[in-house]
Amino acid sequence: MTRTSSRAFLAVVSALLAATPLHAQASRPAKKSDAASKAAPSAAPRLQVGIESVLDRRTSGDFPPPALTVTLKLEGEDAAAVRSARPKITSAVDDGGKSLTEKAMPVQRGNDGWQEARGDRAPSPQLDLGSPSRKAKTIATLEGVLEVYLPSRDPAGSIRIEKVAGRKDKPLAVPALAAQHIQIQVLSKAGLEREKKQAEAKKKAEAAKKKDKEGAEAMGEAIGDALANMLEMLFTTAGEHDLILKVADPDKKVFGFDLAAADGSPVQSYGTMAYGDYRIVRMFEPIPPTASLLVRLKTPRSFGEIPIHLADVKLP
Amino acid sequence: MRVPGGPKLAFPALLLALSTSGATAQDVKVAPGTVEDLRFSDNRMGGLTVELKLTGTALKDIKAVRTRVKSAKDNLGNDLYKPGREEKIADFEEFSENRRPGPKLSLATPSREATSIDVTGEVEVFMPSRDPATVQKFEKALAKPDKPIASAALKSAKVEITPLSAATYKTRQQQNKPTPEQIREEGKKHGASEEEIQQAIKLMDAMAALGGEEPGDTSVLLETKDPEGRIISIEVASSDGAELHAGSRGSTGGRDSKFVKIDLDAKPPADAMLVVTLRTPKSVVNVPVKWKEVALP
Repeated sequence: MTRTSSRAFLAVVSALLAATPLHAQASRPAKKSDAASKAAPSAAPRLQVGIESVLDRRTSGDFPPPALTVTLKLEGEDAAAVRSARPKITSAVDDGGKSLTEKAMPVQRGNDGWQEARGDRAPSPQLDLGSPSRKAKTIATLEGVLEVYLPSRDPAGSIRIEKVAGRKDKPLAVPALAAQHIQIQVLSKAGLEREKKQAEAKKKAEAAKKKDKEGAEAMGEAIGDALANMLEMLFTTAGEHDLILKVADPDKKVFGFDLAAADGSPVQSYGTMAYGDYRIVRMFEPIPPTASLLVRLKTPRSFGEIPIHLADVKLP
Repeated sequence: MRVPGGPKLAFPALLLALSTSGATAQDVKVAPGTVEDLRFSDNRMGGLTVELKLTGTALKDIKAVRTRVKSAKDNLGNDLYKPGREEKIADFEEFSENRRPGPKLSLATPSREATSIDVTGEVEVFMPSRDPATVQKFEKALAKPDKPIASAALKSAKVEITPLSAATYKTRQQQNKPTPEQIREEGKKHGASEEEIQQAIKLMDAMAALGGEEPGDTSVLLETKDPEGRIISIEVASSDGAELHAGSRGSTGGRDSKFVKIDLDAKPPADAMLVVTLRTPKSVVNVPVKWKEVALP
């Protein structure tokens, strides 16, 4: 870890300690750690939402259509603790009265709309609106809510898997995961190749039955095809250093994954991609052998909501 | 207009014109296509692009184009074309009727209050059919690696092409890769922070890892020196002239020295030839651009 990231990490830790509300500390049950996750959401995060940048993409063509992209800026004591954010806009109007939400083309950003932080900094969530009038000078009003995920606000909301890089292709026996009905397998490229071959064998077996296929069988074949195709895509997409995870999470309790060094400092990834039951944690560098995987759970205390009330946002 | 003896002279003159010069500027029309105005709150980025819509009877003969803007203003009088002092003339880009996106010209961001733009300039269109000398074939070109191809045509175009062995290619590429110190120095010149410099160094390594696939048996490796940007394309062919398909190709560097890696579908035969298409004065036609009141989106 560099000196810079070390300082940044200490700053994050300090911010987190400072951000933990006193009443929350006092009310936390001392014995049962999972009680914290069942507790009511903590106080609203101390955050302000501002504007980082605006991109007005104007075109006389049909595709891609014109659009306005607003990048938000998170500030405040809890900003560095926010690891993901998801904006939801209820209304946006330019100063000529044109609604910018009616013809907005939704752009898929992040998994389920959650946009991850990069490194130590708070995320800069982007939102997509319809094209304002060329005559408009400002976005007169921009209203909505920003959902934020702050895993440090709920220590019980993260499950640590030690030395994850050395646990490839072996079933993970972690009681805390089992308690949540979550199964995770870390796959090597060879392990992924085996999964791919199994999917292909299944596909071939189903193709052999093709003559009589009808209804459910046809559907089974289509699923087999889709699985094989997805694994093929996964195999070609996964980079040399990426962490490949196969996740069974029937109750949809997993929010995401992070990596931490032995001293607890974050190991930087470049985001996580989801393909069906598989997740790829993107890495430019090899994962240190002592690093842990942090399975982030969706606990009420980990989430917060910040209202978005912005006015007179200058258009470029 | 009828001139004395006109018909007698006109027929041979027409034949001569058809056989040597081919299509002319009148056979190509250039109109504005899609206009895109990318407007960022950070005004260091963004800009206006206008796609060129080429039409005319000579369209099928056009294999590459290059645009040159002479002036561009929005209807409020803002200058949208401000060339830098050391701005180099762009290279030709390949063209075909169905290629998308088509060629574009790039301008500065107009005022938000502006409603239209006026543009003057020219589009240089490369039509190899106008000059047989544009295509040069070099037989057994890969037989002598690490030595420049000897050719009067290349020499007169100030072009040097050297087939490289894998070992030389790798060594030269490594030598050309900027060091962390060079990145740091360049970053400091532009006022970058230490964090930004570190990110640039990591990015450079990541890019090298992505694009630095080792050359294999099917790779044809070249170094080109082309100070005037005369090379339009380089293909590999078998000794009978049949083009050998390249699944991918990549290059690094600029006109002074460029490393080219052409990955063929199969190992090239020992007697493979290089087919080099060069821009010659006769093969280029200038089509003027005079657009008025092009509507801004």
